[in-house]
Amino acid sequence: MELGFYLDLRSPLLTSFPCHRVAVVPPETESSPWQNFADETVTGNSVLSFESEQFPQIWNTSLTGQVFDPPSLETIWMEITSGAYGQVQRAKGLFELPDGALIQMDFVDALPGSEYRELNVPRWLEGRPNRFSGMEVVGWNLEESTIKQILLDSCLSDHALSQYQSYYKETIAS
Amino acid sequence: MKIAVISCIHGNYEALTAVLSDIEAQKADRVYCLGDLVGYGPYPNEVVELIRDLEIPTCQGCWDDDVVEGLDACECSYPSQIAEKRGKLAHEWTNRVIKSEVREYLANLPMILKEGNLCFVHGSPNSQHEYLLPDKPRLLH
Repeated sequence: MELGFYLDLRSPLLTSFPCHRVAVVPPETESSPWQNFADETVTGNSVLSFESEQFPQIWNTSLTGQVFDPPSLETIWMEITSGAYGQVQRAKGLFELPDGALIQMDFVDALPGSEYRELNVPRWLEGRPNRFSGMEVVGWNLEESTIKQILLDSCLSDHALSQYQSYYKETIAS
Repeated sequence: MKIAVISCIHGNYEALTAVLSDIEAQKADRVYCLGDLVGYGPYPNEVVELIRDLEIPTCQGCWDDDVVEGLDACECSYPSQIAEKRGKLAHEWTNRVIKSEVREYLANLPMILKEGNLCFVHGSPNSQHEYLLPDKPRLLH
């Protein structure tokens, strides 16, 4: 189980589980609540710790029903994770593509690049997908309204989506 | 002879001055500019005025033509939906702030620059809006 940093580690819910607790902490972290909580400590990547800075923002949005123009998604993902709209420590998203695929994109500050993978779910080629998709960003000074706007600017219109889906259905049929 | 070729400055005055400083440091004998002085960046007037004051030979780019003729003149394909949206916004803004003398300068830029056996164009010898991509080798013959 991965715990959010905002959870109270003294919560009876967390301490009552019969489990082996592992904390992944930044290098040169000598003592923290995580180490006191965990049975085992693993040194992670050198990311900026919120202990020495302002507490990070968590921003998320549902994108259910939205389908992305792939090159636009690639562009804005690069912009967001490069810090164009605030300093990003972590970004995760589930995004629908016009070929019906649902992909997961994952960024962690201090790790090279982003991870992309297609989820093993049926391809949605009939109208707007009625399943969850969305994005969450953790960072500082996030320009939330701008991020929301560029996400929406990268989504396909009904007309464009219909054209894409017709093309992919014909391709599959042939 | 050492020749410096610059292009697609797109109203980025800071980048232009940085590149010109580097060209000077490298002691280039001639400088040519392949157009697209305006569009996207916030300093279209300043970029044009600097290029004009330095008398850098420049041919017309597709964005320069757009500002003169209107957006419909451009047949360029945008690489993404968001690039198209941003491109149209940038065009509208540039079209609004550009000075009349700058617009006139852009209108009078040549399509082609020739120097000895060298030919400088923005897109192709046929059009500043035409891309010469690797999958169009026939255009090179």
